[in-house]
Amino acid sequence: MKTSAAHHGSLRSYLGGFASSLFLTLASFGLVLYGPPLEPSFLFGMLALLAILQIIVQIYFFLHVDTSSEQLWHLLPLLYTLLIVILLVGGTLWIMHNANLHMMSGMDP
Amino acid sequence: MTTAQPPLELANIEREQDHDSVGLATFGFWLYLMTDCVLFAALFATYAVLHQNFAGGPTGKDLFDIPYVFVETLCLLLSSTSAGLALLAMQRLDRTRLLYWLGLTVLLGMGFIGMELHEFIRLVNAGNGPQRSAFLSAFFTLVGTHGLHVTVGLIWMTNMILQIGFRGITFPIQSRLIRLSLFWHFLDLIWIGVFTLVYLMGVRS
Repeated sequence: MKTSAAHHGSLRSYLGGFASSLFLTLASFGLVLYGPPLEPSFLFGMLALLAILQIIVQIYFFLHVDTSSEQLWHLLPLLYTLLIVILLVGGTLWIMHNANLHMMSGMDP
Repeated sequence: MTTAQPPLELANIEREQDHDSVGLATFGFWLYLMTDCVLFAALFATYAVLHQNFAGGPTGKDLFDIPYVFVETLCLLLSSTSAGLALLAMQRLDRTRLLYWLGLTVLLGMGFIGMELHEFIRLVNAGNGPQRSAFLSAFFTLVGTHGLHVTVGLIWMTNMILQIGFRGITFPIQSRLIRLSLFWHFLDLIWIGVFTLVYLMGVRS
């Protein structure tokens, strides 16, 4: 059996996770507070990218989920949940967008 | 060991059976966290659908104070880190350090929840409560559900501090602390989505 360090992390992993999370948080807030006037869609893309990066960083450094065999049983449910979340959020936005479009126009056959 | 549970080794535990029980309990709790993820996904989707329905009321640009939210975010990130350091102290069976880091985590968590409550009260007093518009209903539901989770985490953590004080770092207490730290890190993860989607994108759309 593996030693505990792999599961509860080490001082290094927590400080590394903190430093990189802090950097990504500063980047997100800095972009909105002090950033140049960007096209909204470009800005939102950047913010989404920074958020996804920070989520991955925290899953790796704080929750200690990686691709090792001991963590497989944490990783698989996580990936499955990701699929459900994408279906749920994406499906909702898709359906509501269409519903809105059809209600507004009132010209559909 | 060939079975499904993720093995977890604890500092003062030798028996295989106890390994398995902690691994199983952690795995079960992990599955609960995944279902909680789906709950938050539903609330995020609701917010995404309703975020432009202001009903003639104030928009995110009028209401949100980004530097204030930054301090909240910092509180939660620091508390997530100190919860991790608490777990390291637990592994070394260092009771003083463990209590110190857990206490710090509780204080930072209380700072976060206090700031959030203050924001909610300010909004409601200005007539911008959840009944003002669909946007604000979705806002209070999403951010409030996260805040409720943090509050439950704080009660749990205070309870653990008392248990450690009375009983020391026993085996069941270690097992509970492992799950508590997972819960706490998970809440910081959700907050990344909240501050990005609700606050940062809210003041720019």
